[in-house]
Amino acid sequence: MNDQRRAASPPPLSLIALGGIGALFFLLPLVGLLGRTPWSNLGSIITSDIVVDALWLSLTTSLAAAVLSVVFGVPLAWLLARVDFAGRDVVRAIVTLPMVLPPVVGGAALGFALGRRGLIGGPLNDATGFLLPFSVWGVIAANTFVAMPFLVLTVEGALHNLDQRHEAAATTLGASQLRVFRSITLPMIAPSLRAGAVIAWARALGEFGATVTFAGNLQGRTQTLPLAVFISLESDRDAAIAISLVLVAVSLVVLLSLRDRWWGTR
Amino acid sequence: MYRGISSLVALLLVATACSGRSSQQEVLVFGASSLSDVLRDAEIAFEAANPGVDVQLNLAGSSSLREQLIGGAPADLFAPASLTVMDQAIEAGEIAGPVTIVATNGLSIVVPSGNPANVTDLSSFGDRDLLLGLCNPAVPCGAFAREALAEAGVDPQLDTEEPDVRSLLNKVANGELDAGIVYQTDVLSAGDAVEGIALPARTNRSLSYGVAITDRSDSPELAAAFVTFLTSEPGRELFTARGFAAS
Repeated sequence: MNDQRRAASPPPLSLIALGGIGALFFLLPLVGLLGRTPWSNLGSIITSDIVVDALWLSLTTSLAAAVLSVVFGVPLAWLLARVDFAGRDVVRAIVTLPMVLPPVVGGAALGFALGRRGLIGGPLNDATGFLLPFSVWGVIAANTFVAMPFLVLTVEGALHNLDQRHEAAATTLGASQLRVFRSITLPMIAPSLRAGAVIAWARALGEFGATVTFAGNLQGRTQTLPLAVFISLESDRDAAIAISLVLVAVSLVVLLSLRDRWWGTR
Repeated sequence: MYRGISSLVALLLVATACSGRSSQQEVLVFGASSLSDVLRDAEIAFEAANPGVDVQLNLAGSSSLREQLIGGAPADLFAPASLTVMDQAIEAGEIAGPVTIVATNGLSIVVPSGNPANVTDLSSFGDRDLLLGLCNPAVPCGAFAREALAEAGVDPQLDTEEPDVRSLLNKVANGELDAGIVYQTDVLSAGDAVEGIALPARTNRSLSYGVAITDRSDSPELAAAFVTFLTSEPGRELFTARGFAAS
């Protein structure tokens, strides 16, 4: 099938040209980064405390954000796709808002809600002494806030495109809605769910604005890789470039290794 | 379809060309965060006195601005919050003109209004139970604050190291932090949301703000005129109104 398609005719030159420019636009910054990389002392930089702390924090918090996005995002996507409730469009718009909102605004808004004097954060802190800002939980909250919309959107799209006859058949045979969701719907949207989880994870890994605004910046506690890059840019550019390279490498390894297996592009 | 795309591209090119910098009538100032208010005041006053002139401000942490300059950003004037950062820009070959000292400032402890955590002095920064923040050591307010704490013999127990002085001030004003160390002028600019606690004279210092014309300036004459305005009597009044000591 693939071979036949390839043999048919060469792809149009105009598409190659425009697509090539599109690809170059992403490739060139990467080449620029590699050109500026301080290869000679790369090893000592990326094994320094700052980088090791930030890498560990970034991996754990982005993973936690991806998990939280799945736990809360899949049911949310299902509600948005399958239940016709009043104000559904408004809810959908609010859920996708973090995708267009500047992350710094999102971080400030999170503070008004979950900060020490926030709507929920205030009473919570008074009652338990628990505080999201300036802690790893604040980083996870900020990451989830910006990442979950990507998962919700992907999964909701998949639910809309799903042939609902299988679900209908199962319902006719007497399965409960929850059972149908678990044993029919979820397996059928699995590829989209995995893709959504990966996009959410990737977005969380690169998150900067909401994190620094809501959770602050402290090495080992809230300083993720993007924050370490930003802070190092002002004091030690070699370190900033080396940390950027670590971020690029981690992201590429994960995206490449998951692409074939999870995104079903083969 | 192709015609549609090419006319769209043409339109974009024309739009970019039109929005290019019109030479001689624009001064782009790279100013430290702590100068935000006074530079906005000066922009309004200078534009009113010189019709057709547009002062543009790029306000950020001093070291961030220095990196933008070194990266080739097209500034006419550089006004960082420390002479050290100015020296670094000079060493990098980014500065053409002499450095004019326009004002001085000092440090202050800042707490949310009402001082809910009963912060007393610099020694409070050693209290693990308080939520405390400083600027990152890479920016002047962070470097100066650490010097003051070292002189007072306090090992700070920090919860955050903010990228610039305004974001630190915001977190104190919101009540997220119990205390921070910012510039005296920042305490004034945050109004009723915060209170300042003065540092003892021996740990505080006089911090000078220098302004200089950059090496790449498109309009050095206009930039020089803006510096002259900053050091004129009306300019000095703008600085003192915002809590600086004009020089």
